[in-house]
Amino acid sequence: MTVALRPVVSSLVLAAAACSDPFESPSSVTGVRVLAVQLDAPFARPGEPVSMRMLAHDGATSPLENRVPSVTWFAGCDDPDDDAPSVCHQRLAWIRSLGPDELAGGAIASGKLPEGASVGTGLSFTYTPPSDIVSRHRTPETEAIPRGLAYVFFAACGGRLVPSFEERPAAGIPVACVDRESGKPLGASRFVTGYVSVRVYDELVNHNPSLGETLVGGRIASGDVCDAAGACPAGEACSAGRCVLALARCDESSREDCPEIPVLPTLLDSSFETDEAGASPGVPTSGETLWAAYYATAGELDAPTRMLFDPTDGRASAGDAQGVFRVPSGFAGPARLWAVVHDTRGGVAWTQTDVVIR
Amino acid sequence: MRLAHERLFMRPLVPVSMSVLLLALVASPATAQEKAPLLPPVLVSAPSGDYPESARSEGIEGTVELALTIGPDGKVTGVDVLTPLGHGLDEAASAAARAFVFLPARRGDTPIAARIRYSYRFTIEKAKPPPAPPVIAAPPAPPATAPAEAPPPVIADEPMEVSVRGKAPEREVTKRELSSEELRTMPGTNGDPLRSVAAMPGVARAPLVTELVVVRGSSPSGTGIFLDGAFFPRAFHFGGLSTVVPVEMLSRVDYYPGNFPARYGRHDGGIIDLRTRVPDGDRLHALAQVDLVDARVFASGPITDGVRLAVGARRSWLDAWLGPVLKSADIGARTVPYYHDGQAVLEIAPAQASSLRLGVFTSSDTYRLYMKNPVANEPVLGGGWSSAISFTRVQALYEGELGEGVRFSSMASVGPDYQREKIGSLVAETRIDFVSSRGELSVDAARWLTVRGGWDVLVGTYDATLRIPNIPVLGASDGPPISSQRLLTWKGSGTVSRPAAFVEARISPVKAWDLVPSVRVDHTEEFSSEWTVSPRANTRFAFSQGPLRTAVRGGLGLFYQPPDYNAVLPIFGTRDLRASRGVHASIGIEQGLGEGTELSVEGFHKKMDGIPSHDPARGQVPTNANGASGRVVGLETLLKVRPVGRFSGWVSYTLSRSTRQDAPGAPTRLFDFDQTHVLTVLSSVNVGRGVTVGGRFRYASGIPYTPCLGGSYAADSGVYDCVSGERFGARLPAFHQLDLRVDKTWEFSRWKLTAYLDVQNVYNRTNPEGLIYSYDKSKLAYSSGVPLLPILGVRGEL
Repeated sequence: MTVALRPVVSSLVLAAAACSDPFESPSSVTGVRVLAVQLDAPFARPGEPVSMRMLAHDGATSPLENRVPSVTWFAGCDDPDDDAPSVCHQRLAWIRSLGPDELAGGAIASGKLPEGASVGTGLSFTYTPPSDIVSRHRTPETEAIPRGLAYVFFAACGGRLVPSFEERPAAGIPVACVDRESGKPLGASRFVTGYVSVRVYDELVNHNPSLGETLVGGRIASGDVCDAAGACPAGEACSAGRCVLALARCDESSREDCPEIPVLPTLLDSSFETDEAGASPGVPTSGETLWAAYYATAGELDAPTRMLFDPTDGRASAGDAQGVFRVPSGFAGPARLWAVVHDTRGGVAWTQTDVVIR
Repeated sequence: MRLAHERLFMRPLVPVSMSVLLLALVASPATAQEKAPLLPPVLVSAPSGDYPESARSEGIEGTVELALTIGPDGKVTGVDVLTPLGHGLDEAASAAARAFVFLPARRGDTPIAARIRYSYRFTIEKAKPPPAPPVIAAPPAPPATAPAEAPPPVIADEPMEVSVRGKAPEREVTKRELSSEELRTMPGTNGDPLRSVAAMPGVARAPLVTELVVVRGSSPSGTGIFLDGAFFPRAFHFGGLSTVVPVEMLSRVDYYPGNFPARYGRHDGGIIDLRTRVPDGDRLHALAQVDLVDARVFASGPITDGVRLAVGARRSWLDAWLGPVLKSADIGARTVPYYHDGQAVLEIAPAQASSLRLGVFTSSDTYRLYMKNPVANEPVLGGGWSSAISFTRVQALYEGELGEGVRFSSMASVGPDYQREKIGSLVAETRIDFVSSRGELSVDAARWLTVRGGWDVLVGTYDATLRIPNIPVLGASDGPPISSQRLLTWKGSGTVSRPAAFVEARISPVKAWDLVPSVRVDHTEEFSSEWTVSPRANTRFAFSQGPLRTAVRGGLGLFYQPPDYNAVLPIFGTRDLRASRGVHASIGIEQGLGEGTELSVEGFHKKMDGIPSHDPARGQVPTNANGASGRVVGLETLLKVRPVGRFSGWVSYTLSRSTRQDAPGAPTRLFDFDQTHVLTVLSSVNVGRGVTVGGRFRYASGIPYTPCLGGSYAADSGVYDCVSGERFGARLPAFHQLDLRVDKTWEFSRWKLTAYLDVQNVYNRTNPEGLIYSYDKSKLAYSSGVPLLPILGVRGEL
């Protein structure tokens, strides 16, 4: 027992030892990205449909348009062994029987989908957990409240989605994304697969975090309707018919010399919920932990992830919670910023802020 | 505290036999004023001394002739070696003699200083020792006189003699010893005991900042770490930075890579036993040291006749220089990591050939941080981090002779262990109160037979409050990131009951052959009840003795290990797991290559089964079974040059392969810490003028890892999950590093000052220690280990 957290600590220290992460910041959206998936009810009910919507972007340089990749959803893996999503990779082998058109939303021939499986396309999807998903789950004796669990998988592709017949596909689920023209496989910058947990309880409720406006540089855009003539309040600029915040262009040679612009979502107190699902006899219930992940289509944020609320230390100060955006050197044009807030029980919410750099 | 039988079997018995060959007094030149009769000094107390391991293992016997100066208070004030024997025996005899207490020589009724000759004999014990003579009785003294201000008179020209019998070493098992001097000066370790053990054959190189000791391809929990034989829950301060007991409190470290004696159990890997030092009996010794990591003080010396005390304390001062670093890194350090520990050992000699040792050991590690920037791939671990881990141990050890050839020892250790750790949403709070006890009775039944039997008991209670992610056992599927997991919460308490008994016979049909069969019976009464019986046998045959000796040895035995708590706690799954079993087999040869130089080569094989692993047949609830197995095969080589001249050093090399089968029928894979090649070259040269230069070179194969074929976006937490490839199907690049150390000592009349520079990674090799993936797991780089790191320290000693 005394070693319970040691492996965690050691791996984290090792990770922290990598002070100079040699890779691109996750906050920089330059390719196909899935940034969030929100369930309308983070704790679903057995036999009742749950709707999910995705925040995604294709990384194109016209950020103020709704540029999204093609998205395909796959449902049909509930109660996997060990609660492990990797177990579902084998269970979803039936995907290999689908053709490219079927993966793109075309009608699926009968008999190709096993019982309980479903496929959908687009940024939203609805899944209905089995009505017995909770009752047939073998709840460990230490869990006070019975539960069920299902995973819904998805693939966001900047080309054409095709089945994969590799023994160990890099995507986990047996799909690949190929260039529409050449048919060549596309890499991680144009192809994202993933999954979202559907946590099912008979009665427990979890809400998505509640967010207000996001302050960028301490300001909120008026959002007034405008035209090309640009009649917007001071400090704002017209973009796609709306007044958005204007940020000063930075021509410093080094990004670090460009001014810091804080990005801070307003998190309402109602977001701080108690984690009844984690209760165990004799153990006080804990609160949720909440954090924010920041993204931008131009440049990156200094701290891509920030703590917002810790059940022991409480709400983080504004200085600790905010993301720090720097206008990329020499860049001018529209850009989009996101703040995606997660809690530890599958709750998600986000804000989207457009700016013009001039 | 040392383990009771340890002293009887592995340490000299001092003085088991003491005889006066002749005590003839001669008259000193008398003056007209000094007419009273001169009475010689009488030895009344001769506490334990050491039989140097190097001499003992090489079978060196003989007598060191000493001249002792004894003060009017009966204490030995000077020791001169008249007839040296070498091999460290002169120093050992001198050190032992300094602790002797005499009734002082007397002129009439007046105590006076005196000088006598003394024979200190070292013999390797055979099964049937000669009868122990009584304490020296003073013969009638002829009249003698001595000038009042003159140097002490020589009042005996025929020497007293004391025989020091060193128990024949445990040569039938593979046991490596590291002396305190070797531990203290090993380059690249900053003098840390357990980090020095990594230089031994069979020990894999552990990843940086881990507290793992991997021996002969066994799991880290398979190797038991003891303090004088007592259960020792926590060996390292955080991050494996240093051992919780500093080297100053140790006389040596015993390391058994496998096939260890029956007095040890509950582990199927190896044994590392830290042996505390005997407090000094001659005078006060004191030390103060400071380096980059910590500052420490230590003192040791006699309190009264037959009572000695050693005390030490240490505190890291990382907080002094790491604090500003963490502050500049803006990670919210609220309590910068620091540790402290303390030790006290009191030794009492209630009677000849017996001793009672009381010890207190404490350790504490503390830090508190606030991570406003969560770990990139596990945001749930952001926020408050705090840790307070401590333990206290009170130990008592009695060793003594019950009669001719009958020895008894008993040890008890008690104390609480506390752990209060929080990492973001994860919580682990435990309190464990353990009592461990060992005892052993040894009887020399015949010249060719010694029988030993004893107990080894570990009992205790625990309370735990946990909120942690699942800790998967072997064969479990890869779970989602911790940030996407439902944390497991549990509060519970229980008892630990692990009694064991053992019996062992040392049979020597001929002088050159030792055969040691043994059996150990263990009982575990915790989450389930289980009895295990572990028969073992070791043997050694010496073809020749002396510096060019040749011998072969081998062993075969069963070794059981109760399941780790992460496999049986209700929070994780299965209560009814059995102990895993290891079958150790080894055979080796040792060849003396001259005085102080030895080459040993040993092949080993281990077959393990019943290892806790995931059982998919039990369904979705995390449930385990004794379904995994493993196999280790390897070859260890050690060429060691003991410090008989200016040079010492060793070359150790281990070639091994360790594999696991996570479940019946599952594919065989590499063990998590398998390292094909591990090479350590270590040398130290005394270049004179108080300067010692040492170096250590290490080469080790990279450890295996499971590569990510790609990433899968876990929408719950917003991070990418690894899509795993073949389990442990890739390796980190090899590790190699050169460390250097220079010690310079200035000797003054009453004290000495040592400055040392320990430089790690002299050629600044970028050694891969871990993996760094890009956020989407599409790109891979390595995190690197310690760059060139000089550590400067100074030490003052009385």
